[in-house]
Amino acid sequence: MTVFLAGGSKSGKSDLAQRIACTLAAEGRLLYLATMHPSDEEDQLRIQRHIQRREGLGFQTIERERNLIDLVPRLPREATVLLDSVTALFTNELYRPELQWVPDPDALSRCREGLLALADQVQHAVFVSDLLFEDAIHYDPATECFRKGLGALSCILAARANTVAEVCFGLPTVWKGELPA
Amino acid sequence: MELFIGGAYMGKRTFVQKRYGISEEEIWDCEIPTAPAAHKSCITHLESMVWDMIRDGTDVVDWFQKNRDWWEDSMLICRDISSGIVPLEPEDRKWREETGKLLQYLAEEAKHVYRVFCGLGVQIK
Repeated sequence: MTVFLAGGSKSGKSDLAQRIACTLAAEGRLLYLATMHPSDEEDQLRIQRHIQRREGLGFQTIERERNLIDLVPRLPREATVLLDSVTALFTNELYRPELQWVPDPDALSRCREGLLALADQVQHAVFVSDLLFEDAIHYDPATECFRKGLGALSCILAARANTVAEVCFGLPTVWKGELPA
Repeated sequence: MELFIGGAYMGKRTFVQKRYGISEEEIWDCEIPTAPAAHKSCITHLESMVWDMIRDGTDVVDWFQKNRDWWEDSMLICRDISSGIVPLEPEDRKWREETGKLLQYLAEEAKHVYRVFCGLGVQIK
């Protein structure tokens, strides 16, 4: 099955996603697809914290910042994959150093292809993403482009997923389907 | 009138179009700067209209009260801009407040209100 979880910062979405992935995997292969590109010490700490929180849960971590589509065919069919997060993956695809951080117009289609291929490839996929769509700020075009793309990816994944939930401080509100028991 | 609210890029328009079989021609998009059409079955980006009205010095809720013909048989779509940090720019603050006031008024007037999240809708009234 495919699960899509979205929530604000510190909403507990990653912890919930880990529990869901463990439940879905049962005794099977459990992969953690880490997409964040650490750009400073704060990011390093965040990553360390995430690593600690999934210690002992049986995840094998794969770090992948971009080009998910190239990795997907190598993932075992029977695996359960937790991808955390769609936000970081899209950030890395949209702003590439070789393009001098100018938004890459092909980022959205690359992410869409990669994410949907992942959902098709493995037995269970759990996607984690952020919510940043309800404030009243007029952003610069590059930032707005990011919001628009992430919104589109959220809708695409929600349409593909069997289960969609909004996470608020660890508590899910289910918008579609059912969370695995 | 039916009201649809949700965050930016959350698939509100597509949700309405799919659910009610609304074509692009039946939609009035307030983001496109042209004269208001006589009647459209769906009006979207009300938040953009609010922005323009503030710039013109128009009282938003008052305008909607006086121009019911324009919207009362339509489906109205508006971005929810109510969350997040209080905007730094006075214009953005005013925009958030006026959009909020308008949505309170319209939610009261609406037969049904839906909140749209990642292309999925839930009826909240």
